[in-house]
Amino acid sequence: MVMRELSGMLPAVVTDAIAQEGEALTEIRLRPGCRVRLVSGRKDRFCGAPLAAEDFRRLLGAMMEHSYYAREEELAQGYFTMRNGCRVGVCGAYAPSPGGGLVMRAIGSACIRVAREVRGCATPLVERMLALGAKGTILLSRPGMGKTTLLRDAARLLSASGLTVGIADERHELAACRDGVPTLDVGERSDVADGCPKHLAMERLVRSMAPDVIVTDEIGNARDAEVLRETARQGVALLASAHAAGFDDLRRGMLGALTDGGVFSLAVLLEGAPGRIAEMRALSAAA
Amino acid sequence: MTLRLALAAVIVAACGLCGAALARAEERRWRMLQDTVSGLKRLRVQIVHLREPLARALKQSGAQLLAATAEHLDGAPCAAEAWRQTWSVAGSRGGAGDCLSAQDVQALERLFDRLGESGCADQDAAIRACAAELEEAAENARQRAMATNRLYTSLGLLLGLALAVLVV
Repeated sequence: MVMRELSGMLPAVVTDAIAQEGEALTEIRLRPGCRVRLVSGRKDRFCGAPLAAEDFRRLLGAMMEHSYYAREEELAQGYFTMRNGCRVGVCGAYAPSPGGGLVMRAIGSACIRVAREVRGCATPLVERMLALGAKGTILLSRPGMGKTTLLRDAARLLSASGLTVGIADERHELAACRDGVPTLDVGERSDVADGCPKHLAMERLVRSMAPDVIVTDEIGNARDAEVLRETARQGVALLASAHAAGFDDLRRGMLGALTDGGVFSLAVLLEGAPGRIAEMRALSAAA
Repeated sequence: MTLRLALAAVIVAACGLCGAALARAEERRWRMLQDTVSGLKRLRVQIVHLREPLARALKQSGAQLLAATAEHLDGAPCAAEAWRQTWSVAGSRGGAGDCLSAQDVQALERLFDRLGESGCADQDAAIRACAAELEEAAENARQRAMATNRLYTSLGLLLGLALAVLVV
């Protein structure tokens, strides 16, 4: 899919190399003056000639659909999402915004994280969830381990099992919606709140779509935690992901409080290789 | 004699039509500017309020020149380049924009230099500035079109009559 978006924008030698990497490709890293770096899991390779600054600018323009204004808030946080659901991390020069906060003044490098559908990768996770009665589940891993891919497939499988699924897709990565309609398969019983902050999306989904399960990516702040608690209290199961190095993180901070509060009954750790479920651990409120 | 009278009538009609055609050039400019200003107002809503991607925002503006630029956006490094490609066709003789003045085109160039390249507040300011400039130009064009419409048509008819007298 990423090839379709980038075709015609990258030199032929690079698109050929991307095609060779196939499904293994996880990231494409671009920097003006440097060769394109393709990352497949833990391996990487450089290809093509160094990228001219003008070509880098052209690529970014196309990836942002020439619409900086539409991605202003995302860019201030260091990323934007392409229309195909690929998240592009960016780094460069920031400047203070007149309204407070920061604006990205110039982009010096970009990392395209390739969004993909791996059908069936979440089967063990969903089977375990359903066996436990579709209770709250937290997916833990370091960045780049395939949490989003797993969540997407889990949403599809939960939907296929007959549950109504609500997806709080703040960063457009889970369903890659176009005008509110998912372009990736997240299941026929799934409703997606696209581009809406997670805590607001979860409230709206519960209020208006009566989901059995809410799926959301990368929880990380107190507002998210508060709404997760409230959603669980209302009897809606949760499937969320969070950055963590291991199960020990469930004893600390926000994750610790949520676990203690009984929001999550199952924790899943991805480790070793992208998408690889290293361990699933049932939790008790006292964990 | 009948033939001469018929020829005279044709000359009068032809000159009158030429005068009217000259007058219509100003009217065309007025209409094109009006179309562009309306399009810019819709474009502002699409960009500032709906955050639509630029190509779609331009298409949905409904203005002829703006929608044509959307067609060139794919593959162009920026909106300014897409506008240059659009103008190379629209600005040529017989093109949709050949009635526009150099100032009108400069206002659009300034807009496209910024379009899609900055945050919402700046986009808002750029579109408002361009719309205000073109709105003023449209009003001037309307007044001139009304004045020149009668003048050029009358001058054409008078010239036709003069030639007809010479012929007859």
